[in-house]
Amino acid sequence: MVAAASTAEKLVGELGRIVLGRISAGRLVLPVMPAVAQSCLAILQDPNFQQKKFTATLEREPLLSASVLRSAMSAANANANVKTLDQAVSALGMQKLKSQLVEFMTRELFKSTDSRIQSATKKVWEHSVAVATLAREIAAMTSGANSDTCYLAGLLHDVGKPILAAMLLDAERKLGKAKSGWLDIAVWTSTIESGHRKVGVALATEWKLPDEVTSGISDCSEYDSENRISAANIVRFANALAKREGFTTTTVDPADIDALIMIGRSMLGIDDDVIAKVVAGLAERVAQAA
Amino acid sequence: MTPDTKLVAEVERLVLARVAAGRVAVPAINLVALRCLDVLRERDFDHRRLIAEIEREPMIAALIIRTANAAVYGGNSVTKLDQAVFRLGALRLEVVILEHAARKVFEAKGPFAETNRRIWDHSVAVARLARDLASFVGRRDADSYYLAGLLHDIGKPVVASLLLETQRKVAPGIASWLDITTFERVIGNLHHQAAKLVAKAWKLPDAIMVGRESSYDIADRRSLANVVRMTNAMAKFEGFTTGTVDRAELEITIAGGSTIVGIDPEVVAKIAAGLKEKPIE
Repeated sequence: MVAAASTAEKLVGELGRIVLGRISAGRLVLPVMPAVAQSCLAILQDPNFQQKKFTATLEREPLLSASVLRSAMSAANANANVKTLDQAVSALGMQKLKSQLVEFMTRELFKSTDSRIQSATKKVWEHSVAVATLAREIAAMTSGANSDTCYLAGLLHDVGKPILAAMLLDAERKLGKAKSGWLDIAVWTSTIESGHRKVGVALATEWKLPDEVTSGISDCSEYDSENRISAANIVRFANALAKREGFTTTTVDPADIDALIMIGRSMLGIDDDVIAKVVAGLAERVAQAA
Repeated sequence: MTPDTKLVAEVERLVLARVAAGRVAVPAINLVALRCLDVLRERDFDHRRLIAEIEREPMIAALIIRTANAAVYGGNSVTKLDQAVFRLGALRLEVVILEHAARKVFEAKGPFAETNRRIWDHSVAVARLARDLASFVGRRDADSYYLAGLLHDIGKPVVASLLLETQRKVAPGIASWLDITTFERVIGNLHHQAAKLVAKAWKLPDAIMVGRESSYDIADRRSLANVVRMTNAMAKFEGFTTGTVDRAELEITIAGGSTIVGIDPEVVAKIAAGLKEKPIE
């Protein structure tokens, strides 16, 4: 048993070294990034934004186009005339389009044709949706934080996990382990838990996400006392709440979670009764959104 | 103090006579703002034409750039108007322009300036709460809720202005023609009719002109009208009001709204408490 644990630790160390090496060498490959979404993001980041070029690129990905159109139609008031993709792009503006793209790409990152990755990331995705939903609701209650940013930050806080899962599969192939299951689930989980934050931050930098979103990805265990009502702090609090409500992928220490909730409650000025009301019915809301 | 009902009726008759005769000075929306809204509401609007219109009014141009930078996504600030316009998008631009226009109406000088300022503060409070409630339940059209809240009392300064005009006609030289309770009652009774005139002149969508309803609509629980009715009571309960209020009645309205809209009363109270944390400019 001791020998098995030692082997697992070595494997974790080796895989960690490979992954971190790739990040530092700028060779981090984001495996399931849709090319169209990436192109769209690049156009949005161009100071000389060209709407026609953006719409033409967007049209190449029907699922993403439908998502943008649906979003514009539900955001529009009765007077707005949103019927085409071009109108949807005009209506939403770059800021909302970028959120929409990031949300779409994040969803895509959690999909995989590999059954092991799919299975491993399904729970992470549900946890992320729970955190995002709670973060949006908490933001609405705490004047000063933007609900949309908090939702996105919640959705992205564990984004390194599916990427790392795909990288593990890639490492497995490279190490010549043809037989699946060479890495047991405990090692798999441990590797992902120990390395996902650096991968997530690398992705956030690549996607040029706001600092407060990146901050929520880089550390979910320490609150920022200088910027109490920030998206990152709201995500940290929502993360602890989601875990307490059972939306977790690993074994958690209830005492640690309670401590995080207690500190977050004080930081954000939310009392226990309100927290209880917010988490009520969370499972149904997550099922709807996921 | 109960207002003299005969006096209220007589004043209302005088004001309505002016409305019927078409002699009402509906507050003019800034011409550039109106043109911008016209362009924005075209099915396939031309960005260059919109930018050209905005450039004619430096105040609006500055406001749009400031708003685009306040909502920075990704850390880059914008310095050019076209960048700001693309960043915000048509839906957000409409809110920014209408908010600018509405604020001007409430900034009118004269004896009602202080009352108008309090109504504006109340309107902003209602708008913020409406947007927060909409965000809480995950509505993507939270901006529409904000706008509906912001404009729900737009008729009040119009009636106040009409009262002033009527005073000049019927009682010139008398400083205090109406006592405050009569004044408030007349405004309360007529402001929805005045709001209709503003909506027509400003080409506002009917859907966002809410506030007339005296009860909640069970059929459409999270409608703009229901949320604004609820947040109107919440704002008043938090002290954003222009006159005396019946707190027990407000509590009933808030509790009813909480049930209809489907947000727990304790969450509603927390959202309302956040109102005072961010001052109204």
